[in-house]
Amino acid sequence: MIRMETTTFQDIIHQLQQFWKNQGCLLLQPYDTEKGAGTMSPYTFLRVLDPQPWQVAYVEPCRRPTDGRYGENPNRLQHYYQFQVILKPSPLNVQDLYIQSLGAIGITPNNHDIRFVEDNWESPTLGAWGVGWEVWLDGMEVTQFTYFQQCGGVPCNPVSVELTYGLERLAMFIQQKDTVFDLIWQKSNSHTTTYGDIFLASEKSQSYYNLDHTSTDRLWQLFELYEAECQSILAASAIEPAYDYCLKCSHCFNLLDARGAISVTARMAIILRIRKLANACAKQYMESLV
Amino acid sequence: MSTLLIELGCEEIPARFCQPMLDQLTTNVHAALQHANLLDATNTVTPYATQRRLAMLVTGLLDKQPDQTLYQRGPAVGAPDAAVLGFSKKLGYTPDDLIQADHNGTAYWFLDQTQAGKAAIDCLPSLITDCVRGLKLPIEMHWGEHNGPFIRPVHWVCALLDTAVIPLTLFGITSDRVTHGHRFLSAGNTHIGAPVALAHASDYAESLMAHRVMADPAQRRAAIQASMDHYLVDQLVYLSEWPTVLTGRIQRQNLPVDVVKTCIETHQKAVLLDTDQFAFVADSVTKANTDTIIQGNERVVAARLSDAAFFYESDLKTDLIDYHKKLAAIAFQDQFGSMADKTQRIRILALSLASLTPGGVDLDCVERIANHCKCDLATGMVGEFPSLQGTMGQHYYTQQNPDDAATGVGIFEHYLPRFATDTLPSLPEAVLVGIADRLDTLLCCFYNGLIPTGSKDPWALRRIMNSLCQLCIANPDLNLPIDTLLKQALETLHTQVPTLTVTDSAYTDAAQFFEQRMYQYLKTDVGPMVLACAIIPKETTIRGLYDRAQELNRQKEQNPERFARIQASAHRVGKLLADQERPGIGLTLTTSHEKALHALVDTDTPVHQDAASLESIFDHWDQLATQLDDFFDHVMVMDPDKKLRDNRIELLYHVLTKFKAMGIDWTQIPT
Repeated sequence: MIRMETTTFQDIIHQLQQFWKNQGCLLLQPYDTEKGAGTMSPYTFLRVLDPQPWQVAYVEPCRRPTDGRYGENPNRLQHYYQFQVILKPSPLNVQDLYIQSLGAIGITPNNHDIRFVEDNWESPTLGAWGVGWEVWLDGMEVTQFTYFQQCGGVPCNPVSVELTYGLERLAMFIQQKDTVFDLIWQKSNSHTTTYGDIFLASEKSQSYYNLDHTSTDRLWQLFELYEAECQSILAASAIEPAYDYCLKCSHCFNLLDARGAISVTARMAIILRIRKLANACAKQYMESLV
Repeated sequence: MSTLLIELGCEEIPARFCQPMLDQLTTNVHAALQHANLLDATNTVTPYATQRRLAMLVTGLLDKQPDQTLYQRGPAVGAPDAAVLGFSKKLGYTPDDLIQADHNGTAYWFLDQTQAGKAAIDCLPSLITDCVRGLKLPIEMHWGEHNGPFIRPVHWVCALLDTAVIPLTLFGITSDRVTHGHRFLSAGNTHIGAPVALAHASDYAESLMAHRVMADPAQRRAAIQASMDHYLVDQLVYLSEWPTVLTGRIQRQNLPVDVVKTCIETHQKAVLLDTDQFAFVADSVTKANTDTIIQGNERVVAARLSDAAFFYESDLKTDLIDYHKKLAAIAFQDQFGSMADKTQRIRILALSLASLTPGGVDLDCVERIANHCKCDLATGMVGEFPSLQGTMGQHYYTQQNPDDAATGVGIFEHYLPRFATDTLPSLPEAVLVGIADRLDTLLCCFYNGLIPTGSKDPWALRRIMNSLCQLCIANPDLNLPIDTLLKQALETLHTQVPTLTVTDSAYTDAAQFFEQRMYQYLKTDVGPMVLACAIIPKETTIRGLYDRAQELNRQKEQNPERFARIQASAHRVGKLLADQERPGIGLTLTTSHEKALHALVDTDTPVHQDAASLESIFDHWDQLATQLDDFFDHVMVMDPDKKLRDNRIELLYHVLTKFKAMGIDWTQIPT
C-alpha cells in the first residue's frame, strides 16, 4: 500500500466533521462533564427522547478509570476520544452513509473487509438499550452502531441511530501503528506531535490516581453529595443541572469501581441509584415538552 | 403450476438468529399455502438466507385454488327478513342467491353455490404479509419513524409468482422484482449492492451467484468447512454472503495455547490452526485486497494477544493464593456472601466428605485445591475471558509451584464435567472439591428461592445436578450416600452462615429437586421408565441406584413377558386398593386360594446381592403374580360379608408391600 502522506489524528476528526456537516449535521463541541461514553452527553441522552428531528456530530472525551494501564498497554487508555453521530429519525440509508464516511477518511470500502457483527448495547445506569452492530474493518472493531430503543426508561420514538467511531482505533488502522502512543496527532514540516507527547504523562498519573490512590471514603461522600444535589435540583425541575450531577455520580461510581471498592451486590444497588436519577431526568425532560 | 419467490432484504441480521428465523418463515409460509389449498402434491420448498436476506422458493404452486361447493341450510322459510339477510351476508351472498328446499318436512332457505377458487396471485399478498408479520422475533426493534417491529430494518421485498410481482407492502416497502447483490463485491451506486431485477422467480439463486451472493447456506457452509471444521462455523455461515477462508500468522507471545485459542475465537471468530497460524472467514475478498485484509486481521490478532499477554504477565506477578483476598469483593449470592466465603465452605465440605470416604484420598491436596479453586476469578485474564476459569488457575498455580502438578490439575478439574459429554476429573481430590462446590451452590440457590422453573434456570442447577450424578457414577469408590451428601452440605452451610434462618422447606425442596433431577439424569442416561418411579432408600448412593437401574433394565430386556406379567399384576392390585382403606386386622383366611397367596407373601423376598439374586427376586415376583391370577379367578374380594372383605383387602395390602421393594414401585411403572 502506497501512502502519500500521513492522515493525522486531527485530520481524521476534521474529515469526519466535514463529512457529517455535509450530511446536514450540527457540529457540536465536547460536553464539559466527565463521562464514560459519548452516549452520556446530554446531546445524546436527552435529545434522543423528544420527537424533534436531531442530527448532530461531536467529539467526546471518555473516561474509563478501570481501563487505566499506566500507559504501559498499547491498546488501553483510561481517557480516549469517541466521534459520535446521532441521526433522528434513523434514515434508511444510514449504513450506506456510514460506509461513505469511511471513504472520507481514506478507507476505500472495496479495499477492505467491512462487516456488521451483532452487538446490542445496554446501559443499566442510563436505563437505556439499543440493538445494532460493531463494525469490523479487516477484523478490527472500529465503530459501534446502535438503534436506540429506550433511553432513561423512555421508549424512543422516533428511533435515533448512533454511530460511535473509536478514533484511536481508526487512527491506528489508518496510520498502521502498533501502539496508541505512536499515533501522529499533528505533523508540520518541521515538527511531529504524537498522541504519547500529549497524553502519556497524564495516562500514567491518572492511572496511578484511579487504580491506587483515590480516597474511597471521600468518593463515597461525594457520591452521596452529588446524588442529593441531583435530587434537590430535580425537585426544582431544572433538568440540565440535575443531569450534570447524575453524570458526576456515575463518574464517582467508576472511580470507586476501579479501586475494587464495590462488591457485586453493592454494585447492583448503586447502578439502580444512578438509574433512578437518569430516569427521573428523562421523565422530567419528556414532561417539559408538553 | 408456478413457482413462488419471497425475499426480505434486511440490514445485517444477527448470525445466531438467521437460521431460526428462516425455519420459521419457511414453515409458516408452507403451512399457510397448504391451508389455502394452493399446493400441488409435487411441491418443493427451498430455503435461502444470508445475514442480509431471508428467502424461500416454492415450486408446485397451483394457479388457483380449487372450486369449492358451499351448501348450507339457513333459517326456515317465513323467518324474519333480518335473519335471512344475516345468514346470506355471513356467507358473502345476498338473499337473492338463496334457494328454498325441504328439510325434514319443513321448507328452509339454502345456500347452494359453487365458489370459484381465487387465483394464487390474489391470495398471496395477504398470505405472505400475515406470515411475515406473524414471525416471532427473538429481539424486536423499531427504526426510523414508527417502522417495525422486525429483527433488523427491511430494505427490499422481492415477491414473484413466476414472472409476476406479487403486490404487497411490508414495513413501508412495496414489493418488487428487484433483489440486491453483495454489499461490496457487486457493482452499485450505493453500498446496498447492485440491484438485480429477476425475470422469473426461479432465477433467484443463479442471478445472485452472478452478483457474488451464495444464497444457499449449505453452499456457504461447504465452502467454509473445506478449510475449517469448528463450532464457530454455524455463526460464520451467517457472517458472510461470499465467504473466503484466509490464513494469517501469529506470534504466540509465550501464552498458553488455551489462551490463544480462546482469545482469537472469542474476539475475532477465528480458529487457531497450529502454533503460528490462524484461519478466518472474510466476506469481501478480491485479488487486490487479499493481502490488506490478511495484514489487518493479523494486526488485530497481534493486538489482542498482546493485551492477553499483558494480563498473563501481570496476573503472574501475584501469587495465586493472594487473589483470595480479592474474592471477598466478588459477590456469590444474597445471604451467602462473597466468593471468598464460598471458597471457605467448599474447603470445609470437601474435607468432611473426604473424611467419610474410604482412604486413598490425599486430604492436604483436597485442601490446597479447595483453597485455590476460585482464585483465578479475580485475575485479569479470567475477568477478560470468563470461559478460561480453571484453565488459568491451573496455569498460574503450576507456573508458581512447578513441583506440585496435582493441585494445578485439581484446580482445573474441579469444574469438570462442564457439559454432558465433557471429560471427567482424573483426581479423586478434584472430584470431592467439585462435588462440594456444586452441593453448596445447589443449597444456596434453594435457600434463595432460585429454583429452576420451565426454561428458566439462571444458575444452571439442572446442569449442576447432572454433573453431580456424572461424578458420583464415575467414582464408585467415594461411596457417599445421597442423604450424606445433602446433610453434610447443609451442616456446613449452617455452621458457616450462622445468620441463616433454618427452614425445613429449603432442605425438603432441595432434596426433592435433587431426587427429581437424579431420576431425570438416570432416565436419559440409563434408559426407560423403570427408574421413573423408583423409591430411593436414603442410604443409597447415586452409583448404587445407577447400577440397580441398569440391572432392572437388563431384566426387562431379557425377559419382557415376565416383566409385563409382574407389572400387570401390581397394577391390578394397586388399582383395586386405591379406594380401599387398609383394615389393619390380623388375617383369618378361609379359602385355599387365599392361603396359597398368603403363604407366598409370607416367604421372604430373596435378598438382593448381585445379578443372580436379582433373577430369583424376579422369579419370586413372578410366582406372586401367578398366584394372584389364581386368587382373582376364584376369590371375590368385594364380598358382601364385611369380615371376609376386610380380610381379603388386608391380604392384598400385604401383597402390595411386596410389589414395593428393591427401590421400585411396580404400581407406578406406566404400562
